[in-house]
Amino acid sequence: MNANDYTKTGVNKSVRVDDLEPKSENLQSRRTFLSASGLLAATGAVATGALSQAVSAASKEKAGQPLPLPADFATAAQAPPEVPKLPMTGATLFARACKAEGLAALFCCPGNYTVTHAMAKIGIPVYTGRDERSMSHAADAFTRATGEVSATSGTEGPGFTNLISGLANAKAARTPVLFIASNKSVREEDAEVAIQLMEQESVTSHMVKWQKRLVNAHRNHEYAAYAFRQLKTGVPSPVHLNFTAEAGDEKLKTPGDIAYNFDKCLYRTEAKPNPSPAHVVKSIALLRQAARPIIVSSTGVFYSKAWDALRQFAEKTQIPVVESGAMRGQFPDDHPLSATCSPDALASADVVMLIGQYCMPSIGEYAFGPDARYIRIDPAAEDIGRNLPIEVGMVSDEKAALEVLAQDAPAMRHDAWVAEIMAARKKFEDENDAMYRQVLAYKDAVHPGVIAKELAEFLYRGNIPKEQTLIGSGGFGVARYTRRWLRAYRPAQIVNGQYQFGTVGADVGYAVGAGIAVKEGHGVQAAYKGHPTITIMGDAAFGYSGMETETLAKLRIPAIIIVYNNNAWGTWYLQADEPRVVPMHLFQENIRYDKMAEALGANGIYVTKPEEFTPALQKAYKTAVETSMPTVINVQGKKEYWQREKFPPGFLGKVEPGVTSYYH
Amino acid sequence: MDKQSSAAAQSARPHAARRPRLDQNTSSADGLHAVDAVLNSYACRSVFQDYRMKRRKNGTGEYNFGWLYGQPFTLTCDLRHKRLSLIDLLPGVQRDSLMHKQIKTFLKGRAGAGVPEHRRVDPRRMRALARARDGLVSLELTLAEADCEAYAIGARKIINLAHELFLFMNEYWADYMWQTFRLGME
Repeated sequence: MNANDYTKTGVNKSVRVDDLEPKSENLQSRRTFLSASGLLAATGAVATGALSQAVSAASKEKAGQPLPLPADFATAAQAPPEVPKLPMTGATLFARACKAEGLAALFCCPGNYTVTHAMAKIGIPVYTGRDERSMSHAADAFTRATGEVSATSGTEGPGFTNLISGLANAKAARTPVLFIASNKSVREEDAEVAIQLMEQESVTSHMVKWQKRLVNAHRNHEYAAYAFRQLKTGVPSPVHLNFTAEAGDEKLKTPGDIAYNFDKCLYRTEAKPNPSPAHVVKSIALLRQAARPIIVSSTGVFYSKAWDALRQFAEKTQIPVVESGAMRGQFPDDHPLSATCSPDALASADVVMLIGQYCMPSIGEYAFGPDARYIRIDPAAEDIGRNLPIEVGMVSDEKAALEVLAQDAPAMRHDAWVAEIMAARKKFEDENDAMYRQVLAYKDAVHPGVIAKELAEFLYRGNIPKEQTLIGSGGFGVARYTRRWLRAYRPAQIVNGQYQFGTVGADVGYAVGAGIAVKEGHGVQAAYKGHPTITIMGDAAFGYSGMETETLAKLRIPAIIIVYNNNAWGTWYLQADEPRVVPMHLFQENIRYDKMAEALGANGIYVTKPEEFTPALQKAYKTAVETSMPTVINVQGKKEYWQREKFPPGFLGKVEPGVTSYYH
Repeated sequence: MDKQSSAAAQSARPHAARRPRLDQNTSSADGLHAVDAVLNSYACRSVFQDYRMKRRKNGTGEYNFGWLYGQPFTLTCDLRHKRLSLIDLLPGVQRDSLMHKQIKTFLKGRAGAGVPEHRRVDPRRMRALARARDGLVSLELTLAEADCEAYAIGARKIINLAHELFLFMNEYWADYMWQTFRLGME
């Protein structure tokens, strides 16, 4: 192998160290994560140029190395999984059922020991972090990034309550995650014996698709079947299982001890609802009448893996597609029919086909005008007609519907409409470029528009294949810029962080889950196995979950975390003229999150000037490729950039659906 | 319809939305009816809630309905001045403030030659204005013609224009929209 050629597994195009080399000499790395005697010597990488200068300068500081990882990790990786045999505990029986269902990953903290240990022993990949909340977000992101069911777990009492934000978030995003929490013995119920006793079902009842308190180990296989039926059919959503001590601990001795012990092909079906011919005819008739029809492709298109059928239908009928949802890329942003980056055209649509739009907007929340008429395709009849008045409601699996529509619909032409979409896309791109030129004038800190534009240049117009890098798109104020520039070219290239529930602080957890998904090549990330991921967030979010940087480092996840550090909550802007209120929305200034990352075994870069951002990004990416270690890029901004009178364009809003959407 | 009409009355026969009587000679009643028919068609499709029309003594038509963000909207049709107005559409906007200037620029842009024909405020047929008075912005559309068809087109145009104005405000003045319409600031 050429010393400068670092081809990763599954890469469509090799990534060369030279290609990623920083061009600036102004990097302010506070950690030498490319030590002269270590990585550079080993790789024979460039000995001259800006990078080596930066490294040379940094090497005056203490050379950074990953923190020691206990040998137990390597031992565990070599240990063969156990094959469960009778007698076994209820926990092992449940783990066996999960394994048979192909449960892809469990994200948790220590606790719920019988179940999580049984899962680890049986060979289900288990990843532990610092906080159950972040681990539940990791599971959410893993499933959003892969399409595969994952699980998260918390111990009884506080471990369970820590899961709640993640559960609510997953419910809002319609993510099929299995939430498991242990509980004390049934015999202790209501007695306040010891600690951590808590009734769980009433807490989660509005946040799950299905829930069950397990009290009898004999029926654990049966209830695992209930859970996976819910997780793998219909509209996806989380499921909660409350594991009492009895359900986990009890020993099962004979095959007769296991109730309803069917194989998964006998307890659930792969069948999907198909569209009725009448509704297909009505939909096609409405689309044929339309001058400017449009398809909204949302979360359900991803989970039903309907992207090929969507493309076939759109191309045959020349109907543009705009994306929304918890993940993006099912319809590539650079397709000639993509309207995802054409916000100004959306109000022209006269017929809108919503497909897989589980989270429904109300009138006025989507940009379609008052004359638009709606077709909705959804697997759940009971949801059709909610929020938006519809003219055709088609009950169907998304993929099945699109396949039938692609087959039955006649070829159509909408040349003028497509031209309008393209013109709107160009206008949007031109506006973004103008915005970038405008914010480049602000030199005293880094404006989010610089991050957005230069990140896009690096990802899509540099030396990395544009479809390669998964993005965790989070943040509040900063996201209003980055979303305008981020693009998706393949399924789940973007995980839409704040989607629907608007959780602050989920993002490092997302980086863990999405990072594992890509690092190990699960589901739709298989072709991108091993590549770095990038997650964007604000400083408020990092404050919640920054400790999971240690998890990223421990798990050797090649993740890049971009923290937009403007010393304030995103809410500061609206309180700026309320002197007694303002301090509630502020942090200490110029916090060194990069140093925190270093202390936790990751790498850190502090960026204080606009011209430093791209070199920092290049360096972090290079490090991720070469060492599979994470980097936190702490980008120093200033809160006053939200003030449009002083720093136009100031705080931005959004138009939905499309590239800036995250409500629906 | 001389007195109040309502979506509720129409909902019993949802396909019976009245059309503007385009084949008749222009009259003040026709202009008001034309507007009523267009707005009522939105009500029949449940885009508007609780739609009502009333005729003022001066011959002006007033139309009330619930629409975006559950807000009440009032549209007036002034036949004497050939003007349709969405009254007090945006509160808390001072005359010639940055926001007011941007709103005026936005409206001016909708008349530009580059705007698609189905979206354009065609200056040969109508003119849009954001009138600020006492901190309240009303959206006005003054028509070049006074025939029934002009009022029907104008009614549809001003509703679509208001929708687009709200999109613009959501994109560039999100904080104002949150605070004014209680949309939630996340």
